[in-house]
Formats: sequence, structure tokens, C-alpha cells
Amino acid sequence: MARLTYIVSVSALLSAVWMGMTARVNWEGFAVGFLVSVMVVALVGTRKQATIKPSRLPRQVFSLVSYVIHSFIEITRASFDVARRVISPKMPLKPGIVAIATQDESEDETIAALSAHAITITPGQLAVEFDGAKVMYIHCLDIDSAKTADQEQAARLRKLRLILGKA
Amino acid sequence: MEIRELLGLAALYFGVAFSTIGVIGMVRLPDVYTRLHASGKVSTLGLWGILLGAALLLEGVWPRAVALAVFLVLVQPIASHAIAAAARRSGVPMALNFRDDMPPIEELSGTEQP
Repeated sequence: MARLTYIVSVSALLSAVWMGMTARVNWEGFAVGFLVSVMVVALVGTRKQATIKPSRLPRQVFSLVSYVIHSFIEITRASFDVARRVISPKMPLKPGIVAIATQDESEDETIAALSAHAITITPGQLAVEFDGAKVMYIHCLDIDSAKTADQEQAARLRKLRLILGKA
Repeated sequence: MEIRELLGLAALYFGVAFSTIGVIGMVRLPDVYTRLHASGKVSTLGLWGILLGAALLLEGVWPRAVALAVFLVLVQPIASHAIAAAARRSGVPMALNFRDDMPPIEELSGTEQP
């Protein structure tokens, strides 16, 4: 049952991508994308990265949507922040490389990669290097912005675990 | 002039303005790492503006614009990270350095040199 839910939900996501790529937003486009996706996912899909259960699917989708909206706001804020620093005549910079723990005991590489992605799109921070899946080294435009980085990382970890069904 | 056309033009000008700021940042900022902030983030929002403008001004473009916007935000951090990691591994120094927690690259796990 979990396998079937996995195949259907991943195929739905992939057929949405297909509709976007081919610019055919109708039932025909969805059906073609869905059929091919089901075949491909059933053959090569592995459930290592994400666990999808029917009972938890609505919560997973909800947290994914809220995560996407949150990321959108963060990207907008990041862009305005960097733009303000670049334009101002004095250029208020205080750059440096800060170490941040992934805080994930299982040392899951998917979660490490996703949180690095989230960090890179937050204001003035950029993931430079990893120590396994334990520590991330982050370049900050303003190292004072990294003071709350640990709490932010904890919140991010909770959200990502909810989305991937590992909570 | 229609309201849709006005909104499209506004989004287009916003995108072009932001891309220009990204280029100014590339010129003004001191080193590779800080320049990546300007080129990456600012140009993401700039390209979103241009894509939104295209979706509003042209017919039948919006599905591709949405797909491109999503693709951009998924891929852009990876490109920034790849350039930053490559610069760090080949020992490019930071022009302004207030703090550096990172040990030499040989001491990190999972970064074995060939």
C-alpha cells in the first residue's frame, strides 16, 4: 500500500513537471505524463529518500506547500538584503565562514543536502563545504546573521523531516 | 493599455533592474565568495521578474515560465555551492575575513583527494 501511494504521488509530481515543460496544461498532457511516470517510477523508483504513507500524505503535502511559500519569502528577502548592501556606498560587509551542525543524528545525506539548499537561498548565506553529513561550513555576508543559525537549522530540520515522512 | 500589459511591463522592468543590481554587485564586491551572493540570489529574483513579465505579456508561455522558475530555484544554489567549494579547495583567499571556522580541506571526511 505504501509502495502504491509512493508511485502515484511521485508520478503526479512528475506529470506536473511534464505539463510545465511541454506547455500542455490539459487532461491529455496530464494523462501522457502520468502513464509514462508510473512506468518509470514502478521500475526504477526507490523509497530510500522519502517515506510516503497514505495516512500522512495530506500533512506531508501541506508542509511541502508551506515550505515552498516560506522559501519564496526568504528568496525575496535575501535578494533585497544583498541588493541593499551592494548599492549602499559604504558596502556594509562583515564576511566570514561559520561552522553549523546539521543536528541530524541519522546523518542522512538527503536531509543534509536539502538543508544546504535552504541555507544557500536564505539572506546572505552560502554553503561552501561539508564534513560528511555532520557539519556545514557557511560563507556569510554578515557573520552577525549567523548568530541564530542553530535555531533556524533546528526548525528547518523539523520541516524537512515532516516533508520526507521521517518525523 | 490593458491592466495585464501594465503588470507585465512592471514585472519586466523590476526584473531588469534587479539583474542590473546583480551585475553592479559582481563589479563592486571584493572576492569570489561575496560575488557569488550577488550573482546568485539577486539574479534569481531578477529572472523571476523577467519570467513573470513574459508570462503576462505573451500568450501560452506561463506553464514554461513556471517550470523554468522552479528549475532555476532548484539549480541555482547548487551552482553557487559548486563554485564556492571549487574556489575554497583550490585555496582562493577571502579578501575580507572576519571569521574562518573551516579547517584545511584534508581534515574533512568525504573529500578524499585523488
